[in-house]
Amino acid sequence: MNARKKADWVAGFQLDYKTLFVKKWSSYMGALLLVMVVLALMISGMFWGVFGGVKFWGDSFNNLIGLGPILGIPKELESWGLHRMSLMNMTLVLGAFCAALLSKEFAINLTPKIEYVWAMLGGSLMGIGAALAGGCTTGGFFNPVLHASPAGWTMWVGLVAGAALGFKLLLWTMENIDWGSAAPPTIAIPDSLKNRFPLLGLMVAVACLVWAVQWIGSDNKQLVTRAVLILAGFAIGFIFHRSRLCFARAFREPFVTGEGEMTKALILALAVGIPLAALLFQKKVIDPYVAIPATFWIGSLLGGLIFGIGMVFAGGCASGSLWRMGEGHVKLWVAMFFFAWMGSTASAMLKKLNLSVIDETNLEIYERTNLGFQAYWPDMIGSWGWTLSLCALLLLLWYGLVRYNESTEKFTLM
Amino acid sequence: MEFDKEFDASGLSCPLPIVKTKKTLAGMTPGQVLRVISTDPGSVSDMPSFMEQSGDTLLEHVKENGKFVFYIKKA
Repeated sequence: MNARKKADWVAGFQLDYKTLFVKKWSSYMGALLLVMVVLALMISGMFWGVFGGVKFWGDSFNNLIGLGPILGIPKELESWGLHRMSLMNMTLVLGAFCAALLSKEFAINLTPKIEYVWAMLGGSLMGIGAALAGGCTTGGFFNPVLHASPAGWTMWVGLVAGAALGFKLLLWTMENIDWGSAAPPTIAIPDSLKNRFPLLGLMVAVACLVWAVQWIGSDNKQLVTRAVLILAGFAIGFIFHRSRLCFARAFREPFVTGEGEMTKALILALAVGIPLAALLFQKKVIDPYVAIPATFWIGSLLGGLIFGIGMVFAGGCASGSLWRMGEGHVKLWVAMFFFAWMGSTASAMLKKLNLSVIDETNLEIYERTNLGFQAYWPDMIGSWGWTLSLCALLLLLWYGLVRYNESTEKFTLM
Repeated sequence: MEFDKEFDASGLSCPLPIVKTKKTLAGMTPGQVLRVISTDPGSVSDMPSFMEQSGDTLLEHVKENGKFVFYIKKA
């Protein structure tokens, strides 16, 4: 009797382990958890961003190969571990890596050769698009929308068009290009190693926790403030992997299969996040302008379009690429490299061409460049009521189009 | 399980396994069975989702040599 009782409770823990760490989480769950972490960051006076760190990586590379001076990139850069966005990106990958180990889904995935070409192309377009929009799907779209900025919605227009156009182009390449389509060698992982994955995953999680705790207790103020980023990045990466959340998919899937679950999950995240973020701004917990790029509307629109095309070819948006890197997909490592390098180069070029330089003669509260200005609806239309109503309307419109398309497949392109 | 056509999506990651499956199915006649091999962990949930959307039937889903194998019957 005692032996059976013991086996029962052990099985109970095993069942919960499976539910938490092996089975896929619902996209809606992932979306809500993401919003919670993002809001927690905002309450801490920081914000989630991906391109900032990616561009920084690209800057490091450009400095390494000697292009720094020509492009006007500063010589001295923070270390990768101290640059806030870089730190968050790295722990995002670690969080996803940990999750992939716990579920035994991690594997070094090679792809057909042609996919590496698309990774180069897609990553580069993402870099250029993000430079123009002042951010990627996170910093140019998600954050601005959360921060009641029309720049986010403008990038939304570009992303929708870019995803559609990108998918059309991808289909064309599938019809007309045969080179490099052969299946690649599979790197087989012996079961003996695979069975150790959950333990390895636990070690990664513990290591990150210890890292964060060390920084929280440090005398160095820089480290103390950055400790929360270790945990937030890790959490976001973990959440993304478990729920397989992907903004690229949210924009692209309605045009591919008509399926709208990821899109609806993203809409839910924004529907919950926007009013909560509004409270934070009203209570003056943070300054919304910190996360609004000066790109409304040309930079946002054009950047969104180019980024949208790129993310379809790359196989992931900015955060999508990061978590897939953690799962072991080599294609996304390649895409991320070009995203970083071109992101850095394009940003530097935009500065050199005076397009993204802040207009010093502008005396307004917001910043202005030749690509646009920092647009914040409550200041532009003077009312939170109208701002939130407008956001609600736009989200409803998006939902309506997606739901309609799920049943009729009217907008699918294949 | 018997099948009429096979498509190896090994090494491909999102969205390609589904896109290529959809394309291949489009060129098949109703009732035929397509066997798809994938290495992308995402395809485990993507494939059933896609089946729900497309109306085709996922007959079976097994793991073979560490890869995911799907048998799909075109509606």
